[in-house]
Amino acid sequence: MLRSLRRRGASAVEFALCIPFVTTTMAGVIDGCWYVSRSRSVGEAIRTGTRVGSMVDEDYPATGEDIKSGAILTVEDMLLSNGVDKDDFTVTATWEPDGDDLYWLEVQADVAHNALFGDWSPFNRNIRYKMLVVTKEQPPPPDA
Amino acid sequence: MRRETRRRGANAIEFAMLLPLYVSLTSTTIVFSWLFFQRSAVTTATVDACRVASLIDPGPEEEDLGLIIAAGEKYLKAELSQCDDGGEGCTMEVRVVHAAPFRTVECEVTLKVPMLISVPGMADLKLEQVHATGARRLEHQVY
Repeated sequence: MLRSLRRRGASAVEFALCIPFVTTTMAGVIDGCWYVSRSRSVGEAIRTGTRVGSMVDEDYPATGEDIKSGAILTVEDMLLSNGVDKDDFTVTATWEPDGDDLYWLEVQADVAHNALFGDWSPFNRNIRYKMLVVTKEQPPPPDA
Repeated sequence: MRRETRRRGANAIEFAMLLPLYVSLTSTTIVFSWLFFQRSAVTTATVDACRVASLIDPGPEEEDLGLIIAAGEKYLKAELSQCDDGGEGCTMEVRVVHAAPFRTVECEVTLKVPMLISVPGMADLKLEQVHATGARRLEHQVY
C-alpha cells in the first residue's frame, strides 16, 4: 500500500520529463518537412530553368547573354509562381568553357528560408541549389 | 486482492487516453500521403503538358500561338479528370512568355484535392490546394 502511494506520481514525472523532448522532436520534423518541400520547389525551378537555358541558340558570335537570361527568367518565374517572395531569392548564371573548350551553363539560386519554429531550428538557413549542364550552343573554336 | 481491484481499469483508461492521439497520427499520415501522391500527379501532368505544347510550331508570325495553349490545356484536362469536369476546384493556365531565343511555354495548375479524411484545422492550412508549375522552351522560335 505504502509502495503504491510512493509510486503514484512516477508516471506524471516521466510524462513531464518526456514532453519537452517529444514537442521538440515534433517541431523539428515539421520544420524539416517544410524545408524539404521548399528545397524541392527550388530544385524543380533550377532544373527547368537550366533546361530552358541549355537549349537556347544564339546569333553568331554567341555571348551567352540569351542563354543566361533564358535560364534566370525561367527560374524566377517558377519561384514566384511557387509563392517565393521576390525579395527572398537571387538567381545567378554563368556560361563558361572548361579546359576542353566545352561551354557549360551553371545556374544557382539562393533562397532565404525562415524556419517555422524560430532561430533554434537547424533548418533556419538559406537554400542554395546549383546545376551545371552542357549547352546546345557551342561557339566555334578560335581557329575555325 | 484489494490492490488488484483498484488497478483494474488502468489499462482501459490509458487506452482511452492514447486512442485519440493514435487515431489522429494515423489519419494525418494517410492525409499527407494522399496529398503527396496528388501533388506528384499534378506536377507530372503539368511538366508533360508543357513538353507537349512546346513541340508545336507557332508559325512564321506566331499566328498559331493559340494552338500551343490549346494543346497544353487539352493535355492537362486529359490527365487531370477534375479539370475536365467543368473545372470545379481546378485552375489552370498555359501561357507563352519571354522572347526568342528563349520563348517559353509555362503551365500552371492549382487543384483542390478531395480529402479522404476530414482533419480538424486542415481547411485553415489550405493544404488541399495542390499547386504545380512547369516551363519548357519552345522548339520553334520565331525571330
